[in-house]
Amino acid sequence: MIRFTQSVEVEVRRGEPIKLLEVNINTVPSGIMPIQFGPIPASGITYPTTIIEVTPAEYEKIKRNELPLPPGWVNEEPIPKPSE
Amino acid sequence: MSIADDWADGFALQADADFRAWELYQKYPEACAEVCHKLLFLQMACEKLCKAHRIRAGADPNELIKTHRVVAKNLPLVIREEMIRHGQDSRAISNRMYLVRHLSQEIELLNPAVRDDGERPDNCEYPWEIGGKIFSPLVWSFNPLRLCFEPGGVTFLKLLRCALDNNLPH
Repeated sequence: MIRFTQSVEVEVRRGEPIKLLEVNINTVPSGIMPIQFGPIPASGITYPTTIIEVTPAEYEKIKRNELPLPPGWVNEEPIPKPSE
Repeated sequence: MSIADDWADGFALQADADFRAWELYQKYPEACAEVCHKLLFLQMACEKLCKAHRIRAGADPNELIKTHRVVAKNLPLVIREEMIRHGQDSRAISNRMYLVRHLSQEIELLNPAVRDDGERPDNCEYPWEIGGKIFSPLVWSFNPLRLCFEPGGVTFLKLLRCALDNNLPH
């Protein structure tokens, strides 16, 4: 899982979603398909989230700039797995 | 084009529009009143997609128009077809199907007309009574559908979008 951010001015805006790229060996290769989730206050999730799920092969293409991410997906920060 | 084809196209187009409403509510949460309203669009999209799929497979549109019990049985078939289309092997498909079947059943139960023999009166439209107490969709947690946030849930939503696109009239 990799979190993407852009400028601080944008990221602090209310309603700016958390942007997550998930590399999943079990997903299907369907290109860049952002899935948006609104906040679910009842679950303690008070912010919107956008998840792009890709296969490892698609992730390699992203790294080679052959598969562009949406605008604003600029700075990447890997999120360690819970066991790491 | 037969009248059945027209019915299938009509359901597919409406399913796509319903799902776009769900996507827009997800993208612009400030425009959305409540979670139950978002889920209503998800449920309607899945029901119509399944009806389009069944009609394209030869089912009689007149038998499908009035029923709401099509999602739990047919959505897993639609999603499975989509996984095959994307080249998933049988093991990967098998690994996914438990969650797909579970989510499909929960989505069907969002319809107030589907009550699972009274066991599941919870739905995303109307209040219901359990043990003399009235519950409202506005405050219901719809717990099982939180699985959409899990990795398999995201894949499910991706495949659903792909299936909706593939069922649109060419």
